[in-house]
Amino acid sequence: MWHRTKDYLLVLPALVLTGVLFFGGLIDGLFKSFGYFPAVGTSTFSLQAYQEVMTSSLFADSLDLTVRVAILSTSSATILGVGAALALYFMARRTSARWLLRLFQLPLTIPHLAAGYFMILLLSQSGLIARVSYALGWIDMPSEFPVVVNDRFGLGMILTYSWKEAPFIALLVYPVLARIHDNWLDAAKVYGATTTHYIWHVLLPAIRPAVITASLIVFIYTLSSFEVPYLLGVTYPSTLPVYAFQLYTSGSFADRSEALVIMWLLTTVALVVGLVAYRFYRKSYERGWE
Amino acid sequence: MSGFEIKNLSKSYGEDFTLAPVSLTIQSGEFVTLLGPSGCGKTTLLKLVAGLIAPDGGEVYQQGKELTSVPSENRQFAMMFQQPHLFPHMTIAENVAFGLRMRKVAKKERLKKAEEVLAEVGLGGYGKRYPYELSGGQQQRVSLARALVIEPTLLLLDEPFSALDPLLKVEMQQLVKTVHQQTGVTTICVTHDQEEAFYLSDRIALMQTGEVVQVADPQTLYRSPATLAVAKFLGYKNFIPVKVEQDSIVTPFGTYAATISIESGKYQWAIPSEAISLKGSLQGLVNEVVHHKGYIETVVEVEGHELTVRKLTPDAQALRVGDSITIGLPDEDLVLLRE
Amino acid sequence: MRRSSFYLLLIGLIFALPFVPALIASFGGVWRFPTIIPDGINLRAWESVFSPSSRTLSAIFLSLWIAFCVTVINLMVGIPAAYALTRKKLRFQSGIEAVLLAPIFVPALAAVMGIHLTFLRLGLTETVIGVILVHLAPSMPYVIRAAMISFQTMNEEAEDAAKMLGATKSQRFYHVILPHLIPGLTAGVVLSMLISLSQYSVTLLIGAGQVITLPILFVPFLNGGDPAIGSAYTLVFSAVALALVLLLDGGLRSYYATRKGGCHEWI
Repeated sequence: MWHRTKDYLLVLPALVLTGVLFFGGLIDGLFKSFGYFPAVGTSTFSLQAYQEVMTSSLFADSLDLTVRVAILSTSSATILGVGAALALYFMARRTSARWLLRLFQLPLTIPHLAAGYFMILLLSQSGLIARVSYALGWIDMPSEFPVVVNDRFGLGMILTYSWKEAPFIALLVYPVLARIHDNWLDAAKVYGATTTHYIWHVLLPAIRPAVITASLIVFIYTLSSFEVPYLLGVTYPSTLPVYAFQLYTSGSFADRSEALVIMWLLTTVALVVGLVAYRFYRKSYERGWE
Repeated sequence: MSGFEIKNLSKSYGEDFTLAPVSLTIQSGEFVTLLGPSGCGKTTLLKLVAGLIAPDGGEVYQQGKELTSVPSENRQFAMMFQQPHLFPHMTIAENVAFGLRMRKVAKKERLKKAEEVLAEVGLGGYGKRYPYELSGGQQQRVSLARALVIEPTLLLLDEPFSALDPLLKVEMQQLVKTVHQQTGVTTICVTHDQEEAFYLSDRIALMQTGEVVQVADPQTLYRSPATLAVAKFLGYKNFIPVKVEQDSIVTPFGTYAATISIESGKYQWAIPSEAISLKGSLQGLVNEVVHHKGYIETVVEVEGHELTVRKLTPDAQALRVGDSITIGLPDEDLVLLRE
Repeated sequence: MRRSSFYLLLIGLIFALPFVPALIASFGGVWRFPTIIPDGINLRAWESVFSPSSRTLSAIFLSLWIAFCVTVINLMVGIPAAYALTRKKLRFQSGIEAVLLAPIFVPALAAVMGIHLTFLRLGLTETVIGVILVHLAPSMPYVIRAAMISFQTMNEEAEDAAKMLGATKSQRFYHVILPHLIPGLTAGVVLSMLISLSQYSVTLLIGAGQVITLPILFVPFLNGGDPAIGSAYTLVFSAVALALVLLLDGGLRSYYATRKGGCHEWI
């Protein structure tokens, strides 16, 4: 029995830290979202903050923007990422693709804050592309260049996320492709399949679980991250994490409850999507693709 | 002098597998093989001996000293596994010297010793290479050297040759036999390969479904299997129902006198295929002839019973299906087994 | 050129493009519209970023120090946990695993916002320790995951082999397990450092402007500040991250290049 207890002692420190700092924080936050602030004397529970959030048009606009950015970023990053992984796969059949893999890892290393700022310098109305457009005679002054960053639609965020997350998806998917045996293509060709057939009927089904896992992770990230919308968003509407942060730091306890309501909403969505992603990950693992 | 003793060692894994209490005494310097089909518990028994898993009951003794609760790292045993399990980040010499390093032997001395043992296993001069530079067979040699260098009091071999191709396997078996003869290290080997067990062992402990069913030297084991199951495992093909009445054995091919006292009743007479001669008093009909690599297997029908005969003599080569022949059965030391 | 190589080059260019304007802007002094290439090199922005009064260097050191502490704690609690999860039969195994890995999915800000007032009461806000504590949750799962994969790819019998050769528990850890673990752990260590390094919102909330990490120092320059200085800062930030990866990854690579056997599992 002592032996058994020792095994549990090995996981205990990690469990305590995660339990207190992460789950403790989440639960602490949940209480506060119900207006439970014993430190300042309010130890009752109320649904007022939830009501406020649900009926607020600020929230509705923010939700709209957040979901739009998350879905479009994820789709574009997935398409780009899978395309890049496929290109790498066919390249690697002939040459060593190791240095290319390295190049792909570059955007992964760059922090989101830096990536967001690079996008501003590139795409703003006085950015590099606007200047090149001027030099080519396409525009006569900065205001003629379309608003791409700090725009109400969220295009700047979507572009930033695509740039940052496409390599992430490619690097999660590529190892699965790399493990697919070369003979498969030969076998497929013997039976008269073209390369397109092969991609469509063999490669894509093989990588599907990995792609789904990767894009769900990207979806959660783009839904709930703070830095990129903080840099590339507009004052109104802001994405949910930014909106919650502003509410929280504004200072009043009522606003803080509302901020925590929003963060809890994001947490719930993240956990549900995360669970689905994990399922797919297990599935791909069991099938032996991973 | 009894070198190593296993007393009532048992282990069970839920309902899936149970190793019945096993007792076995191994003489100092002896080479004993645990032989049996996969899943019979031979590796479990070996790991219990090694101390890699803890028994549910029973003890192990070495020179009369109990070792059951001594951790394996303090037992002064050595073990070879199916895979070489060389440490990839160490050179060959460092790998071989690993056990000495754990015993705080000075660097210069242990590397010198390692080179000596490497030479013994035919890998002199390989010390500075890394494991990935060696073939599978060479790696297994290093693994043997690594086990020998610590001068173990007991050498454990867990199917160490089964991952090698046939020619390498024979080479390794010869090496292990030579090494055993030279060093006289007490050895327990686990294998499912009968050829290997018969070639290497002083004694074989035959295991079936978690039990040791017979312990004997190779000759005795093959000549007088203890049970029907053992006979079948060892490759016996001819089983003839017989009846023992007082001192006579009544078989479909005639009555024999029992040379040793045996209880009356029904038995199966196990006849080795090699022991049947192609000349004799019994009339038979050739039903089947199959040419194998080292022998010809002929199925002969005698008195309604099919008997398998293995021979490579010219008269065996001349046989065709449908031929009428005569055969002779062994008439002493009959192997009679209870159902 | 084959079609796929063309696509690849194109994709590669797209990935490299965003760095270009930052480089131009940071070396260009004043970079007025519509000039594409500024006239001559001007180090004004870089001088200002690295002037003693800017406190850039101390912010870099603080960021690295926090990332280092976070990673060391992650390793200390993560390796034993990963060992138990892969090698021992625990009850609630998948439950424990789910709990430990859950922070990968959930925004760190949610937990930190929840715990903020408690930290305030305990006096952990405005302290480096408080910031280290909130950087743990988002980074620890990656270390645990990396360690688990390393343990899974390691044959248990290799440990038995060492045990039979007389290696005690600590000797086995030092001579057999750790050398096998290090290559795989590097990925976890790199991620842990990067995640800690790039935290902004949670550092801002808990550090409350008193714990000045690199992002806390330069983000104010990004919002409508001087693009030259903003560019220089983001490039410094990226360079720190990149240097970290190259140092850890490359250092290990050259170490294992001579001892190639260990490489097979991790490239």
